[in-house]
Amino acid sequence: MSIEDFLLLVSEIAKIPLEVIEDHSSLRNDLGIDSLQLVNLIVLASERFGMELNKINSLEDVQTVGKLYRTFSKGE
Amino acid sequence: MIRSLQSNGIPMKTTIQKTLMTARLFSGFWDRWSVHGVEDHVVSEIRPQLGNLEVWTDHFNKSGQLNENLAHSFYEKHLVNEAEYYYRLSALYYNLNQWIYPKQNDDKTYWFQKCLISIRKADAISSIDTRYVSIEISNHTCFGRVRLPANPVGCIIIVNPIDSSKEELFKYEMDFIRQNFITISFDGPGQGETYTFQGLKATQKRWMDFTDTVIEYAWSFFPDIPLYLFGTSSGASWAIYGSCNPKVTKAVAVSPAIRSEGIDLPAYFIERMNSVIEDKETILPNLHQLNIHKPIFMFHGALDVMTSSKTIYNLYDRLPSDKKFLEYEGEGHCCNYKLEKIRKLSMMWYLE
Repeated sequence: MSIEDFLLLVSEIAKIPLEVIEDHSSLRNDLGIDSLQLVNLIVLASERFGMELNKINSLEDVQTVGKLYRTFSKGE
Repeated sequence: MIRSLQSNGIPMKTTIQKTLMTARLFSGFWDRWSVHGVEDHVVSEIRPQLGNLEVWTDHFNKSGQLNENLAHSFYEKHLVNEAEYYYRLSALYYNLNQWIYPKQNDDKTYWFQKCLISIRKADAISSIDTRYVSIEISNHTCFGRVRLPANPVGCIIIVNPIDSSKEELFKYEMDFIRQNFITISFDGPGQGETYTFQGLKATQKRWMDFTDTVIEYAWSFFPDIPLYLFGTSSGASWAIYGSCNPKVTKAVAVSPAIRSEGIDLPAYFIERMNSVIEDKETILPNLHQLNIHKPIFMFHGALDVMTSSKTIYNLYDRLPSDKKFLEYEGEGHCCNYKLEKIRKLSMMWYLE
């Protein structure tokens, strides 16, 4: 999964333009993704890109767009 | 690893995996279980490890057994009220184990039976008489329980939300009984015993029949006692529907579930619902078509992300004049952390 593909997915879930999403963007505070949307983002990303849900161990892993991408990409 | 495949060959996470991920990461997942009795320490010691199903079932089985043993030792010391509570709490942990399985299977049946055994032990030693009853819907049996305090001041039908069994809401029963209300609580289509043992799935029509039949049942046994409804989430929507029945005196609706545009439900929840709903149709009543004329007390959490405030306000505006509304700023769907207070306020309002 490329970072571009991942950013597209975040844009789709958060319903915000791709150009405002950055690596350091906080999913909750900057992009306004609530906990229900975050659950769905994680599930969709894992299904679309064939990634293990168990890679995410704490909310620390999903603080920012970049952190979530790197957590999923670990060991790929 | 639990894994299934979509038709295009892409690995698809199972509903259980999605549920475990949500339980591991999001404290909000536990709010409902916490206010229904699950102890914080039991959750916090297992949350980070919730990577697979066996961890979940082993942990809650141990918690169930521990509380069962505790109940037994209280009973031996003649501390009956404490024993009763801990049997119900042990049932709640076994309930968590049946709940994690979204579909009917042998494991779900096994854990549900354990849950019922604990509940019945609690009922057996309780000073309040409990009757196990049933009604027929679509040629299937819906299972219920009636609790009968002496000198009742009213009868409350607890309309359980679709994802809960009647045993999960034991604290509601206890609060209502303490104030001398009879309680009637059934598992409807797609719920609890009715789904697990009868396989009856939910449809809107079945829930209409179910709600009507439970009200008739209550009235036939207690014709001289005022009949009240109390529901949360989808149960609140059906409580509003039920209030249109002339035999009902008043209804309380906490966070009625109404489909709101642009609101996404969590992935695991949608899949769980798809397991218990026939043909993925709506199982909520069409509240716009109802002739609502009985007093309704509606509660709403301003932080509800499942039903928008605008949708709730619109519904409230449509209710007849004899109504009441209470909104909690810091609460979300079901006003979880105000439920105890809500039950108290409801009982006072029923008797006004």
